Amino acid sequence: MKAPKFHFGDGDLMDIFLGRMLKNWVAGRQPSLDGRERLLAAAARPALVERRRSYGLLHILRYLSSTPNYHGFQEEILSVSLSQSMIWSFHLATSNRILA
Amino acid sequence: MSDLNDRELILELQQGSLDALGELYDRFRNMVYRTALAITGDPEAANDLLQDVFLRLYRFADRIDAQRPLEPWLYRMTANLSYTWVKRRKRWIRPLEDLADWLAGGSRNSPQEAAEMHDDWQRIQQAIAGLPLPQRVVVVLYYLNDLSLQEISEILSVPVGTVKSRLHYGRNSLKRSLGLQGETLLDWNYEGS
Repeated sequence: MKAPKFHFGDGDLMDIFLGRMLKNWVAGRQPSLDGRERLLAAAARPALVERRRSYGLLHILRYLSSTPNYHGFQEEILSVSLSQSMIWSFHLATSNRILA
Repeated sequence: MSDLNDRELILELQQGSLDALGELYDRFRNMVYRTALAITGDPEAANDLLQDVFLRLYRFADRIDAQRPLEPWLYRMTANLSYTWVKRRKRWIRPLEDLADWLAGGSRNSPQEAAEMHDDWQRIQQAIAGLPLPQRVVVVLYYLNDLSLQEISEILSVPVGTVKSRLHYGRNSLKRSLGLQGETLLDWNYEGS
């Protein structure tokens, strides 16, 4: 991945400084210690459960999209990241049970 | 697993191996975490994003070309998820924090925290957080991860000229907000290299 650096024409000092500054800023910062364990537990979750959760999410999205006022809300749900969409799915799966 | 190279691990991952996922996590977690941290400025968010990136790696392993290096895929996913996180925070969380500040009489920072705001590293964090998101991502990939303009262009799917322009404006903006002149660069107190 290493490649020659681009130069701005006003010397390398600024580039060296910014590079060191950013590297030092995050140097020594480590992710949480239980990250690996949490990741493997989440990855090992059965696909069936995931499908049911996704179904719950889609079910509610269809319900919400049928009401014009909820379009903005729908867009927001669709843009959430995986961990957050899993939280949404938890709520939505509960709602799904109520609607069913 | 530790004796396998990245390509072999991706092939194992495509067979659903959790051991391969764990090994890839061990190899790339710091890279992903620090990139997410530099973009978001939030250690908790960086931890969440780290989880998201590797969960997606596992779920979408069959779409990854094992013949190509994994780093660009990881950078792309980290940058995209960090983008989403920062945009959502700006839209939803920050107004709530501002409201909390207002309710608390605008004194969320303790005297000690206020003193720390003068710390050099706090200034750097604020300067980077003050960059528009597209510039911030390019600055982080270029200066923190040592990627070339071409590599950043491929990762972000934007022309090289756009990368160059974002880098130029981001760099000038950092220079201004940190008050950097030639002599202050030499005086800046940072730890080693």
